[in-house]
Order: sequence, then structure tokens, then C-alpha cells
Amino acid sequence: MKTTCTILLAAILLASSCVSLQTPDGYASRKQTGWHEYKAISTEGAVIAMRVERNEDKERGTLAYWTEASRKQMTLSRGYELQKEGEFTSGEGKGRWMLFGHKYKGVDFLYLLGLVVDGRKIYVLEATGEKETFEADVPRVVQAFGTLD
Amino acid sequence: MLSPRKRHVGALLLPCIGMSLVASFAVLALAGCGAMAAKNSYSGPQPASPYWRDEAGVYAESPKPAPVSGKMERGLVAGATGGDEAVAQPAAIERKIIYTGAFWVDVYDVKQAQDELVRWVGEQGGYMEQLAANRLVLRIPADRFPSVEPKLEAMGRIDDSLTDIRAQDITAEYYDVELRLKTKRDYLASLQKLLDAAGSLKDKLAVQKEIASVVEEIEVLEGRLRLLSQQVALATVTVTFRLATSGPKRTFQLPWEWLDLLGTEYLVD
Repeated sequence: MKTTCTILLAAILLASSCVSLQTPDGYASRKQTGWHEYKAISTEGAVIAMRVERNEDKERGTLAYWTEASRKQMTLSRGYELQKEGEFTSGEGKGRWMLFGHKYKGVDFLYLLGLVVDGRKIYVLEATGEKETFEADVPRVVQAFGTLD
Repeated sequence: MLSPRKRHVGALLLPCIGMSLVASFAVLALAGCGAMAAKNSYSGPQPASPYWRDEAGVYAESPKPAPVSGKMERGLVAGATGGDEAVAQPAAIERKIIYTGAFWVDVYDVKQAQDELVRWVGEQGGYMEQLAANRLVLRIPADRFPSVEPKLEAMGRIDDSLTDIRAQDITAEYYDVELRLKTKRDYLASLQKLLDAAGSLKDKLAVQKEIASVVEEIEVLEGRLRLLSQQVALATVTVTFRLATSGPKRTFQLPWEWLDLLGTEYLVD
């Protein structure tokens, strides 16, 4: 009973965590975000989204650990190709971003993944779009990842 | 019991058939020698990997190409049919092999993979024969056949349990058809000479009927030889693409569900 209450409390805390991201130019945020805390769409159909996941082991589940786990997930299990990666700093702490290239419905796409780990929380920042149009947005979106607060 | 007309044609053709049989025997004897010589004169496509599947589908060590000295020609030498003429030495016989391959490949984008493969086959000098749903049938020059598997490996994950590569040696059949064709052509030439020499209308009609029959047989043999040549020149490759749904390079999944939900597929509505 106690465990269930703790899990419920943690879930409520996570769900109600007030976290924000500044929407970059050329994008408009949506209210209906589904499972994401935040979602924004460009006129070209590129999407930026953010969600918060629970970090079960805050000692071992470091930014390096989750970055490596995500990289392997995307490259080995999903067939994405890592093109670039880097760091950013946000209000919730240091983050890492990775840019992947892949095909989606026969079209070249880019997928940008940013991670910030803050204790029990993992902030998962994602953005994707057709390579042709989204490539120019990437620096702006990485900058927006840095506005996580 | 032959009818009088058939006996008449038979009497006319007997010397001619006799000559043809002698010629055929000589040519067959040469072909036999040639076939034995062919064992050490592999000149078909060379596999890229050190192991290759033999006719029975079993991997075996790749056949080593024999050093080519001089011009590789088809084994039969013209002029070997004359009775008193010197018998020419048979040249090394080129082996005739039909290559076929069937592959199942898991890819992340079936349409893109199909387009890429068709384009690549075109660059190799081949073409697409059939496209049905996710199955492609391609014809590719036989000497490019060994490069198909590495190409597919670079595109996705090949399901080895379904891969079927065959090399069917039709050398004997090919040269048998070729020999029969040559014999028929020689016979036709003899008939035409006979036709010129025939005196009566009855004789001419009988020979002409035989000529028509031989021409028909020649056409059938030519068609068969053409088909075999095409099958040898162009390997047939069937590729079935499947949408890869799980990891191509790892056999385990991390237990955190949110990792499975990363990616464009879950962001784009």
C-alpha cells in the first residue's frame, strides 16, 4: 500500500512538474500534446516535443548512461545514423544532443534528440523534420533545448 | 512397312543421312573430349566470398579460375565433319552456368530499398523483370552476380535462413543442343544440294517436305539455344524486402519503454 502510494505520488509529481521550453521562431506550440509536456510544429511540419521520464537509479542513471543507451537504441535497434552530437546547458542542468539521419516513408529525415538528467527526472527533448527543410532549423532547435526550465 | 513414297525419299536421303551420322559421330566424339577438358577451364562469374554454394546448395570452396591462355572459344572447331579432313583439336569449352539467387532482406524503408536496388542493377547492366508488392525479380549480368549479396548486406539485414543461391551447370545440355543444331544445319545443307540435283518433280517435292521438317526442328533448337544463352548471360535474382520492425544488429531490448518510443515515427502524426 505504501509503495503504491509512493509510486502514485511520484507519478503525480512528475505529471504536474512545471517545465517550460521557449518556442523557437518559425514554430507554434500546441495545447493538445498527447503524452508530451510540450509540442510545437513548424509550417513545414517539423515537430519539437518534450516529455519527462522517471530516472529509476539517480546514482547510476547519469546523463552519460542515458546518452549511450539512447544512441545505441537509435543506431543499433532503429537503424538511425548518428550525424552530429554536442552539449548544451539548460536551467535543469547540462544536456547532450544527438542528430540522427534516417529514412521515413522514403524521404530523408533528421531526428534531433536532447537529454537532460536532473536527479529522478530525465528530460527527453525531441525534434524531427524532413532533412531538406529541417536542417536549417537544427541550430535554432538546439538553442531552444537550452531554454528548458 | 514404309509406303512407296517414303521408301523413295529414304533411298534419296540414305547417303545423305549416312554422311550426317558419320559427321555427328565425329563431332560427338570431339564434344566428349571437350567436356572433359572443360573441367579445368572455369570461366564463369567468380564469387566474391571464399565460399560458394554448389549446385546442391551446399557451401563449398570457390572454384578457382583456370589461367586463361589464348582465346577461350566454344569447344567445337569448324571443319571437324569432313571424312578425310584432319581432325581439329578441340578448344577449351566455356562452362555454361545459370545463376539464380533468392534473398529476403529486412529494411527500414521498403520503397526506398526497392528504388535503390533497381537503380543499382541498372548501373550493373541489368534490369528489373518484375515487381510485385515487396518482391523484386531482377536480371543482372552473370559476372556481376557475386556482388548482389554484398550490396544487399549494405542495404539491410539478409535473412540467411531463407537465402537460396544456385549455380546450375548446363554445359552438357547447352553443347548438346548446339551440336544437334549444327548437325541439323549440315543435314539441311545436304538436303538443299539434293534438291538442286533432284530431277523429277516427285523427288523435289519429297526433298522439300523433308527440308520443311528440318527447318522446323532447327528453329526449335535455335529457340532453345537462345533461351539457354540468355539464362547463362543474365542471372536471376529475386529479392523480397520486409519492413524491419526490430533491431537489425542487436538481439536484446533495454527494459525502459520510453527508449522504444523515441524517433520520428512517434513524433509525426
